Parts: sequence; structure tokens; C-alpha cells
Amino acid sequence: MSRPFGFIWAVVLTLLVAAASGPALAHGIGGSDAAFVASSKGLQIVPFLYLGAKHMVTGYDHLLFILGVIFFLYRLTHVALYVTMFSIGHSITLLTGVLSGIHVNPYLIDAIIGLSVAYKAFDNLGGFQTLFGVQPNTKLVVLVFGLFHGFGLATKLQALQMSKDGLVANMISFNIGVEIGQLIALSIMLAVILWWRRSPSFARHAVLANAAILVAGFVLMDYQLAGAFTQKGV
Amino acid sequence: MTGPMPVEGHVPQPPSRRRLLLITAGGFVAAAAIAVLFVLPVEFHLDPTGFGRLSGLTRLAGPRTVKIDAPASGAGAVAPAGATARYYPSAYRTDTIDIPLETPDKGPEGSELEYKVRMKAGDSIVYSWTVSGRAPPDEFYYDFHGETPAGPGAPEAKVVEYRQATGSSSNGVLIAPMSGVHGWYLQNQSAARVVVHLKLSGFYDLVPPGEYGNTAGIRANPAKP
Repeated sequence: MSRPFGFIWAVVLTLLVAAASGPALAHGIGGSDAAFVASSKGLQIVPFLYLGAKHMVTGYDHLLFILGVIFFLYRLTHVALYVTMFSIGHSITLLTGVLSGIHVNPYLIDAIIGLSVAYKAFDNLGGFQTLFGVQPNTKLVVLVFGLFHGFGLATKLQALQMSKDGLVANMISFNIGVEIGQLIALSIMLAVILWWRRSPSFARHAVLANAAILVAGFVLMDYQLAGAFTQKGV
Repeated sequence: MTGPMPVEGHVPQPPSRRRLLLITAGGFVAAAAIAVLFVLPVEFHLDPTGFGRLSGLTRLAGPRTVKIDAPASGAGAVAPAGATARYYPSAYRTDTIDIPLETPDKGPEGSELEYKVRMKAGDSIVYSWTVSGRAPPDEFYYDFHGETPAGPGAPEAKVVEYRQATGSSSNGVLIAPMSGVHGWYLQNQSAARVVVHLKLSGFYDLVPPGEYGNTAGIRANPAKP
């Protein structure tokens, strides 16, 4: 490798994301958290806020997508705009998904979420312009993929069979928790990326980093597709 | 930042068409290789290349767990024909077990545990338990299930789920659908210490304290003072 430093960056980035995910490899809600949701009735605002935030902060699939989205946004107003589009998207499907009881295959949804990560990395590499000479509307795409991410969030809550008692308030608390967790993760990622952009070799390393995000997105997709076909694991 | 602000949305110097194709196709293939070589063996017990066995990754996967559906019946359900009367060569026994549980603020250690008994397939128990203490019924969670851990000659662990609910008492009958340990995961979520009083009778064996199914070391039949 002619640019070992760039490669190291890509590896460090991947490891950071993996470390952030911690032991929550399956990335559902598990252990005592799941027992809590299954057994809780009535209003539980703060616990569900926490669960939502935790799900986002430890959710490498959502985090990788957000990282891809903000990678080349240079104005804070644009960061706010894109992240809001994403939030609107996932809130719509999280709330309607749980309330309407629509059950989508969680593996296929998570596979699409993995694809969204790869898509964004490809877009960041200028892929659509270079290969096809077109640029899909980036804001609209973030909104649409936000809808899929929301379905993913909904399947995680649905898997826990929440009590009908206090459902709406608890679910909204979970949703607000998701937004809080997203803001926390976003602040950290922004701080790192702002510092990184000041490096003169950012442009070169950025290509490698997005190539790494592309691979990570495809791995997530393959992982979930394997789950969809075997209907277990995860 | 010095110089003009770069164009938003993509890399400042997008890779050439040739390089982009290389990155995308290479990325796709690399991801598939990672999935086949690493993810499938560890997460799904699938090892098409043999690399999982070769590298020891399959050991990381642990034994395969199979979930078995138990035909759960509601209250008053009629037993299937032929199962109404059962005969057992083994001795009938009855036990009382007191299981103390701390409050969860002291950590999971002590506020949650598993208590199970050994049963062969077809063995039956009649059970009844109540929770004493001031725990509200919805702050006591239990998961009634059975399992056969993997071991020599049994590469797959089996899990069968009977009931997950909250409540301060439960009565019933269990006819074990498979050999293994069968019993309860108990979790005190309340602010009060509680004791679960469990009565068992039928055809089963107690798990000695410390062994699988009773790792919390609960002793049956406390001596009367």
C-alpha cells in the first residue's frame, strides 16, 4: 500500500465504530433491558428515553449512515437540515410501525439499512456523477432511507411486545431518546471530522474512509441477508 | 480552513471512473468474503469454506441453540388423547424451596436467578409458587422455560419457552417435552426484598446447588427451626 497512513485511518475508523457498538453485536434490545420492556406497564418515560438513546449510541448501522451523511457537509446549518430529514423519516415509520402493528421482516429491513450505508459511501465518492452523470437528490434520499431506519427501530420495539398500557407515551419517549442519542453521537463525530478536515491529506484519506464505510455497509447487508435466509442467529 | 470552501456532498477530488469501479466492486467482494469467512461461521453456524473450523471461529459461535415450540395449553384445556394417564417407574417426590431475592439496586447479583429441576422427556411436575414480601405483582418477572445444554454427544442446545409474564404467584403442571432442566428465571424489580415459596411434586430430580440449572446454589427443604 503506497499510502499506509490512509489505510491506518480507515482501520482506526472502522475499529472506533466497532468499539462503539460494544457487546451489542446483535444490536437488538437484549438482556435485562428486554426483560424490563416485557414487564413494564404504564408510563415509563425516563427508562424509555434511556433505551432509545442507548439504542442509537450503540447502533453502528445508524451511526455509520449518519457519518456518511455528514462526511462532506461543511456548514452546520446543512448538518442540521440533513439530520432533521433523517429524524423526520425514522420518526414517521417508528411511530406508525409500532402503532399500526405493521410487521416487516426485521432482517430485510436491517439489510436495507446496511445498503443505505453503502449507498451513502458510494455517493460520497462521487459515484453517481462519475458513473452515471446524475446526482440523486441527497436530501430526499436521506429522508427515504430515514423511513427504512425507522422501520428498523420499530421492529426492535415490536420484538419486545410492549404493553398496551402507556404504549404511546413510552414509544414517544423511546423516539425522543433516539434523537437525544443521535445528537450525542453526532456531536462526537462532528468534532472528530472537523479536526480531521484540517489535516492536509484529508482529501486522500477521505476516499479510503468512504471505501471502508462502503465495505462495512455491504458486510452489514450480507450479515442481515444471511439472517433473513436462515431466520435465526442475530 | 484555508482556501476556498470545497464542494459539499462528496470527496474534494472524486476518484476516476476506473478507480471508483475498482473501489465499489472490490468493496462488494471484500464484504462478501468477510461475511462468508467470518460472519457466517460465528453468527449462523454456517461454514461453507471450512475456514471457520480451520481458524477456530466456530468455537466462538458456541453450541447451536434450537428453539422448540411447546404446545402450551390454557387453563382447563383437555389433554390430548392417550396422555390423560401416565405411569412412572421412578419415585414420586415432593419438595418445598424458598428462594430469596434482593432488590435490584444492589445489582443483578441476588435480584435475579434461575431455579430449575431435572426432568426426562415425559416427566411431569405439579408446581405452585407465591412471592412473599411487599413487591407489587407487576414488579416481579418470571420466565418459565426448559433447556438442554449442549455437551458431549449433544452438539445443539435446545430451549423451550413456556411462559414469560409478571405476577406474584403461579400454579400449574408441566410435562417435560424433552430431557433437560426445566424451571424459572426469576427477577425481582421491586424496591422490597422478597422470598419465592415454591412447592413441587411429581417426577423429577433436584439440581444440586452450584450445578447447571441451580448455579445460584439454592437448597431445597429448609430445616424447620
